[in-house]
Amino acid sequence: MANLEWVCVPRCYEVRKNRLTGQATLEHPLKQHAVTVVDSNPLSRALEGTDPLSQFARQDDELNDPLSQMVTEFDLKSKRRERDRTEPEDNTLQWSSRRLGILNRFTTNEKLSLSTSFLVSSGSLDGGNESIKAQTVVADKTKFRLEQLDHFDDGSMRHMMDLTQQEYIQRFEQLKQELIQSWHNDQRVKALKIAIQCAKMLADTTVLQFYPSQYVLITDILDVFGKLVYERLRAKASGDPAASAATLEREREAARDTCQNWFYKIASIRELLPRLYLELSIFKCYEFLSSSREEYERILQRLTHQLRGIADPLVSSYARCYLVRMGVTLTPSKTYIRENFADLFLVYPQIFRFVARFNLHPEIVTASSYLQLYAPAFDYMLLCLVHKSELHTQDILNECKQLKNNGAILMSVLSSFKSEFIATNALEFIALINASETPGISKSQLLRSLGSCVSSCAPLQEQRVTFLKAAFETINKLTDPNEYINCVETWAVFVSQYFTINEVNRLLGELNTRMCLGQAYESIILNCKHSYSDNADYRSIELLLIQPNFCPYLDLFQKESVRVEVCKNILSFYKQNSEEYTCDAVVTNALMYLGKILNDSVNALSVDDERRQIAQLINVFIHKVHFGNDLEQQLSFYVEARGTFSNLDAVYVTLVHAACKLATRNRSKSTGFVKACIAYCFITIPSIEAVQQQMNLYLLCGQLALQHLCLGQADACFEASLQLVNELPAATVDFDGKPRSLEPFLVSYMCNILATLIVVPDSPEQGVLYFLRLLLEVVGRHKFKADSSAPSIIYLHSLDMLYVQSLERFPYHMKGVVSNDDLYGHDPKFLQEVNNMCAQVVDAILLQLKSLGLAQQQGSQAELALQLFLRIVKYADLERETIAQLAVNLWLLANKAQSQLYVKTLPQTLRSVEIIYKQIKDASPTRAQAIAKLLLRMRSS
Amino acid sequence: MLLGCVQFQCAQETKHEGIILYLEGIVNLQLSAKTVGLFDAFYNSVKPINLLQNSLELSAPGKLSAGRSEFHFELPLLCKKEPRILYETYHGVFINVNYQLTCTVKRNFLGKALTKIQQFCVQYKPVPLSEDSKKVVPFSLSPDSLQKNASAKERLSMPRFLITGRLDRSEFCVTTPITGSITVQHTEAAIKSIEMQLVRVETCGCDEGYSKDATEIQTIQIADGNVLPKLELPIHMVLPRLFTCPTLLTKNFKIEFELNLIVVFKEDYTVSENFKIALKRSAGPLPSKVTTAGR
Repeated sequence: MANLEWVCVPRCYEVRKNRLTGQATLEHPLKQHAVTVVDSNPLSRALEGTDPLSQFARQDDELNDPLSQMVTEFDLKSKRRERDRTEPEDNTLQWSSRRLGILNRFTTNEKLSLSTSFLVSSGSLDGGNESIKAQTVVADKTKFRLEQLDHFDDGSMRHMMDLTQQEYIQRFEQLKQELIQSWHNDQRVKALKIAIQCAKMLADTTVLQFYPSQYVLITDILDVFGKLVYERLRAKASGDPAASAATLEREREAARDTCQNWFYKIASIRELLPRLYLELSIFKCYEFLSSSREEYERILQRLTHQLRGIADPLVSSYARCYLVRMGVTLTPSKTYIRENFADLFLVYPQIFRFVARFNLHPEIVTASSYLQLYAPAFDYMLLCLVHKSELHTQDILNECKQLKNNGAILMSVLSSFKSEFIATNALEFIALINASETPGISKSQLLRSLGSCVSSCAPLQEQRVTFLKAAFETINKLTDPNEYINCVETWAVFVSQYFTINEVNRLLGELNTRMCLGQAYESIILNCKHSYSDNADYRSIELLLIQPNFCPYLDLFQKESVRVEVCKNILSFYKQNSEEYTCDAVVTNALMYLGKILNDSVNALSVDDERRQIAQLINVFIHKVHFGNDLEQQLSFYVEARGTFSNLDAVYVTLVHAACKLATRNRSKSTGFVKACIAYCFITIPSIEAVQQQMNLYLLCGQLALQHLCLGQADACFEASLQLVNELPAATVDFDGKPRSLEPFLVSYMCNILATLIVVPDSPEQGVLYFLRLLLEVVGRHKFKADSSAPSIIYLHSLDMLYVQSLERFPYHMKGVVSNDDLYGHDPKFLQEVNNMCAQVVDAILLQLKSLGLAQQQGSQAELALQLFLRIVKYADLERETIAQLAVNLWLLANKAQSQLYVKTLPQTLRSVEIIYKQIKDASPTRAQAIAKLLLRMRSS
Repeated sequence: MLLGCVQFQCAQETKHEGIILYLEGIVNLQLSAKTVGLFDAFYNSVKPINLLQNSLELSAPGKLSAGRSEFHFELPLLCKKEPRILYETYHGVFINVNYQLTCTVKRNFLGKALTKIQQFCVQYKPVPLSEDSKKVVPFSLSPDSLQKNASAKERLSMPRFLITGRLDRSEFCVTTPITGSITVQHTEAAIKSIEMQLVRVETCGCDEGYSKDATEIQTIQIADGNVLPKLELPIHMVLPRLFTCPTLLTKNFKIEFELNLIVVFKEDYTVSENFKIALKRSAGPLPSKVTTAGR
């Protein structure tokens, strides 16, 4: 069939590699340079200060103008002053951070209660008001609002109840704006009135659940009011900076006087609560009357005592909270806070009288949520008390002990006190909690917060065990599964951080037995998840994994999705925190178990991403398993892993790679182990779904086998990989959402395999160059895209490969592998075979050329022709007329499509032919002559 | 001695017929309609008492030069006739003690005289409170202690309660707050509110047609709601500056002050206890000397 006679010529020139010369550099070449323009104009430097123009320009750069600079300076200064003043109130005592929390926390409750509130009829009334409001002009609006305020005054608070939360807040916002506005309009009495009326609303506890938020909203307004008063007085007191000393003194006197008047005015407010609140809101202004700290404290103490007059414990607690909040800004003393607590403890039993009432009427508010209402106030006050001072902590604790129903205050103590303190008194606390029988506050709540306290700061080493025992005695008595789990969740962290693994194990065991007891637990098993992830904080996860209670614990997660989630958590934790390698069989087993759960969760419906995630986790695990020099065991582990993770392609890929790596670590002489590894790979690869992956891996294995002289296996691998080419999807595959042609892959893959095949010795059973034949056959059968250049490129490279085969000595060898050059010893018969195949390949290329010509692809046809042309010139014996003629024809063909080629292509080709000529001129004059002849013919055409 | 200065700001030279300063201090008394009857109240109002009358010519007729011109003056504050004492400034309902300075610029017959009136306050020199006034005034309220205004039957139907307390002293200084404490010892009926009322008692006229009236000055709430028994609640009342003065007893009129402790129970029972207190001036106004009523 070959109508072309091809004769390869020996290479008669030295192959030189032109290496690029490297240069050492300190800077990354791709780094972006920050351009710094240095004003190097010598003139401007010399004239600095004298050249008015450049000076102006520079000034412009620095600041826009002196005035604005002054303004900014002033701002800065005043800001600094502001900061200095507010310094004592550092972050821990910031109210603003709490206020949002309170608003959010007590909002949701409120909405519920409003929806069930009984006064629906007045809703329409209010709606009517709203519409009126919409129509009224601005001037009337204020009047309307004041009227509305008067409405509140009447004690007819009930129509607030049908306001939704949002409306309510809006209304307060309006009030605030109103207050500010009237203040700036010099209607200070009105502003005061608004403030008073707001403060009055604090006495209203009709909507209990909302009270903390209501408090926040109203104190906001009072704060604004206080600030306005204070700022004005300060402005007055500081006076005009330009004035004389005497005038300044007079100004200051006036400010004092005004301040005095404010306090007089407020002192004459009839109701107790607004009077106290208002005085507190402008408490800062006492600064103008007296500067001594004792004075502040005296006043604070008086106010503290006056607060006793407020009977409602909730209202008074919050008023005390406001007192403390105002106090901390002015004095660091804690005595008044302490007194507040003393009073609070006196009133404390009163709270439980309310609690008892709510126990009878849970429809109003449940006892526990009622007690919750106190929490923000207590928390804040306690925090202020212990802030930067340890003085009163012990006192408070002791008083707690004496108190009946101390749950609520204990709760706040736990959340506000420093954890160090709690830790040192841990045993006392646990005893307190165990003894506490507070309605509305369950032990579990207390234990929970104690748990989170001690997990951030543990009690003394020697106390820990008794402490834990005492705690769990109580925890184990809890009957409500929810409570139980909640407690365990926080305590788990503590246990895992500060105790040995045995304790953790015990905890898990207890959990298991608890969980197995009843169906009731199933519903809340979901919560366990969290407890688990906390548990994973344990320093060394391996230790945890080897606990006997661990796997049964996992079995508790009955819902598939939860279990998978947990496994993922553990594995990813393992990924981040474990040591580099592990060889413990139990750990591997446990992890294997986890992995299996994950693997089983993958099915046809799984998302790609999910799959990838899981595979990645398992891969990390596989990489971490390392048995040192016991390669056999490692391999058997891989075998086991293969059996376990059957659903994940990526894991298989990893396993194959790992096995390959393992094979290279083999130090012994015998190839048995390597063979086993390769066999493992060979078996594993077909289970992978992606053909590309399979091909790559086969090639890799083949190369590996070749390296280790396992020729039979190498042959099998190569054959398998070549057979797979036909299984490649013909046209395009969807890759990352984009259609992509596989042809580039195929071409590069083929080149890779061709390069490998050079050194692969022919097997005695298959005849000369069996793989190349197979390759050509496969390529011939493969359906390429129409007009694709892929097959021709492969053919061209096959030609390269064949030419190398014809050489007396191959350019490279694999160590220990007897390649074809040694095998055949440049046998003429073999050369004949090679030549025949070359002819076939050239034929095939010519066919391609023809089809390209038919498809009107002149450009690519010409390119291909030139490529072939060059190869003929290089490889073939041009002295034969047929070959020379072919070369000339190809040249002519390329010239025909000159217009569609890159301008330089033809001249360059010509030049390269000349170079070849020069290279072989000395070594083989006869061939050089042939080339010269060809050159002449080319030029003449 | 009253020191001061009158300033004139003239756009151009102005002629005048003399500038005279009048000083005046008057006690205005009024009989209340309640006690004397409407008719008498109108026609029988007691003659005002002149405490102070003085005048000073700042300038003889002449010209005021353009720009600012100042006249400094000094006037003796002395009451020459009865009662030979200047009472403290006081604004009440029926009694007013008022001091004012009037500056009049007389002009030629065409122009009306220009006048400017400035009131000023008079305060006593502080005198220390007497020793025995520092004694605590204890009190207690119970149904039994209310015999005066309730019949025996009423008393029986009353809920049982006992409220004790004390005032820190019997005499108070007008510039310091009234202090004391109150403790609810026990009560059957829930308390709604405990309030402290400051009352002025003004007595006009003497022997024959005198009228005595008690009017409220201010009420201050001490307890809101049913406070915890046995808890000591502080009483703290700041005296309003404009409406109080040291207790004043004269031949023609009296200004006295009383406190009412009012306990309001849930069922709107109201129980009250009356205390007479004496106000004195034992300390000056708070360090500041300027007393403007502005804000």
